[in-house]
Amino acid sequence: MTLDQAPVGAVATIGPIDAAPAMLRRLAELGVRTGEAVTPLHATAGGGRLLAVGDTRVALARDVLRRIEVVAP
Amino acid sequence: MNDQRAAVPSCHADVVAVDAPPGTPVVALVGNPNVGKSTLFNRLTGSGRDVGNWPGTTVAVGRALWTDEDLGQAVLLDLPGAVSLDPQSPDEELTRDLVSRPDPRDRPDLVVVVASAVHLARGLYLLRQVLEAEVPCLLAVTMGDVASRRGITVDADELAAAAGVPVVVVDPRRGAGARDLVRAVALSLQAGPAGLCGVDGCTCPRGDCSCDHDPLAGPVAAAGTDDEALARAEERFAWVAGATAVSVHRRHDARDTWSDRLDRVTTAPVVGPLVFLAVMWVVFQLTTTVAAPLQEWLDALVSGPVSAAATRLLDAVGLGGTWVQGLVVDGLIAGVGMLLTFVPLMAVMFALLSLLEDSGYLARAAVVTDRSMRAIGLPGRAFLPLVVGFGCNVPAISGTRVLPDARQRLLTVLLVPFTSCTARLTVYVLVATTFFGDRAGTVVFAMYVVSILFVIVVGRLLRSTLLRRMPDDPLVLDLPPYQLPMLRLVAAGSWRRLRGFLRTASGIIVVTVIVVWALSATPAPGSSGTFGQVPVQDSVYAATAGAVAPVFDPAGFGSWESTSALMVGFVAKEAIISSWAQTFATAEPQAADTPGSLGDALQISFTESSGGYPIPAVLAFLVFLLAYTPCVATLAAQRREVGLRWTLTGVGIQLVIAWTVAVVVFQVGRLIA
Repeated sequence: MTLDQAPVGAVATIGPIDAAPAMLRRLAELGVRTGEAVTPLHATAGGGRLLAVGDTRVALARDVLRRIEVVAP
Repeated sequence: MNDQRAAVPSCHADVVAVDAPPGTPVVALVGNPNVGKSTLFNRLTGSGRDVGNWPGTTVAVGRALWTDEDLGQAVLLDLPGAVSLDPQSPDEELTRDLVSRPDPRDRPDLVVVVASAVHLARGLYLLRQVLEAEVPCLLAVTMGDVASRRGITVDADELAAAAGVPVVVVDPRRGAGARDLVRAVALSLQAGPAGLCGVDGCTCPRGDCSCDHDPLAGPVAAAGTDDEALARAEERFAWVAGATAVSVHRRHDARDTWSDRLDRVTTAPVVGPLVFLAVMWVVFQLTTTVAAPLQEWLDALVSGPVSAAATRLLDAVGLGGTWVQGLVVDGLIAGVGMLLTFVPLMAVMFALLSLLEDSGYLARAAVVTDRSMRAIGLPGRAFLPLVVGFGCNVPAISGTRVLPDARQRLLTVLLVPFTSCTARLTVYVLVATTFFGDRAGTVVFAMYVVSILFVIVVGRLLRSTLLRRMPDDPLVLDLPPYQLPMLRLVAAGSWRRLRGFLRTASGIIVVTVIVVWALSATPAPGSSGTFGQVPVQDSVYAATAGAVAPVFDPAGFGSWESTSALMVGFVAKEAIISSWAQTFATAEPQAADTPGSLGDALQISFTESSGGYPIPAVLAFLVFLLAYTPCVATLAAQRREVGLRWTLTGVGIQLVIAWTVAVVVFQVGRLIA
């Protein structure tokens, strides 16, 4: 399952991310990296999602969410 | 290494902009976006800020001479917000380059890493990279109030011990902790190139102190391959996790904050765009209808009582009716008057920008509009300046500062002139009423559709030619928590931006108005008048228009009258109707939709210049009017944002596109007619 399909409101643990190194690094800098727990909060306009990453909020486009595997939703 | 990076010189070479004595230490503020870095900069330096593009780049950097009794003097730099020193935009690249120049003498003497207590881990990641670059640094922790509401507290002493740098908690919005920061900066500068140990408040130079702590081990070599870079990043994350584990304490798990509840509305799939449109409507209304009466009042004041007083004064000293009166009243006072009419508009625009930025809404607007703006290769934030452009291009150009990436800013600055401002509307209405009668409304509406098409097509064209290297990454955006904007900060920020605009734009606007006056006051060779005493049709200005006119023959409006109006329109579109009235020696219409004798004169002029096809010629003229350079004030604003070279490039692009499309419209129209 990828992050765009993970249930809203439930904690999900990030698995492998299929992205270019620059994107991987940027996601990691924002706290979205393998092994971390995130919570999808709700869908956003444009087809993406807002995630709770620790105490911060990160908006990701659907294209990005589809590249992020979820290990244990 | 790209062009932007190659053009970046050292910090020390470019602090001359703030008139600092040689040897003045350079302190740079570095931090993630939206952590209060610029607010802190303003708090520390007061009103002495100089915001401008870093030499050779379109990246904006704040610079100021920072004078304080505890510190003495230093040059303070407000470097662009950066998520990390692994750059993904020219702005981040500039920050990385200035912090980690190969020669330590070119680096800042001290870097203050500004980190938000709400997401300290991100700030610490950046801090770790600055430490690896071997630059003396200290950490300023901001947004403690927001963190506290979320049940988060940061123990500054524990953090200093874990990170190995001095830590100061500061509230840039209210000023708390600012004095502590000044003292910490002063101590760090005294400690020299090594910086302070900082552990447990230790003020010994780093690496040369007797305390038992073990600050960060030596510098880390730059990682080579992507795998090595990711491994290095993991190492940093582990360091950050260690530091936050001992210094960040949570009272409770703040899952559903009021910021979250607001986000459920402002970023929602259907309601979010509606909220955004409502906000844009308010912005548009305030920048046009609310500012308009003030603009009209200033215009009436300058062209009425001020001009009359100047005329009386010149009469009294015997210069009435001479060219000096023309220079002072029609050149100097008219130029300053034009500049002044922009002040209310810009003040409203800058205040709105500050409000939207400070509140945190702008980031939500970026999420909501991201998908539709991708059509022209721009992120959602570009929507704001483009919408404002339909009111006036000048504040819209300044509004491009909401875009974090310099290349995206550049593209938007080049596209804004294609948004049809209200000054153009009055000309559309006059021309459409004259030539299209009852269908005038449809023609005016069509001009707005054409304007939007220009933005989309030119945007895609530039993306595939001049700006090929612009990033097109999908949306990955950190949303800062909402904050109540502080009116004092909004007012101070607006005033600073307004002052910067006036300083940069005033010269260009006033000089251009004077040059146009001088050309129209100078008799053309062979005419009988004297300087300042010549009808406009016998002036050098008219002769120049006559010489340029054949260029517009293929578009059907190659008369000197139309060309002269377009030349005046280069200064300001508002002046086109009065210029026509002067040229055709008719009364200026009371309203644009009742053209009167001017309408008759225009009918004759366009029929003659088009060889009997006035309608295609008028449509071509309207398209040219829409697409060529909006006004000299827009150029002044563009020069301020992207420099002279790109401004001139933009003018060239506008002229080529305007002329080409106008010719196509006329030639195709003529065939159909």
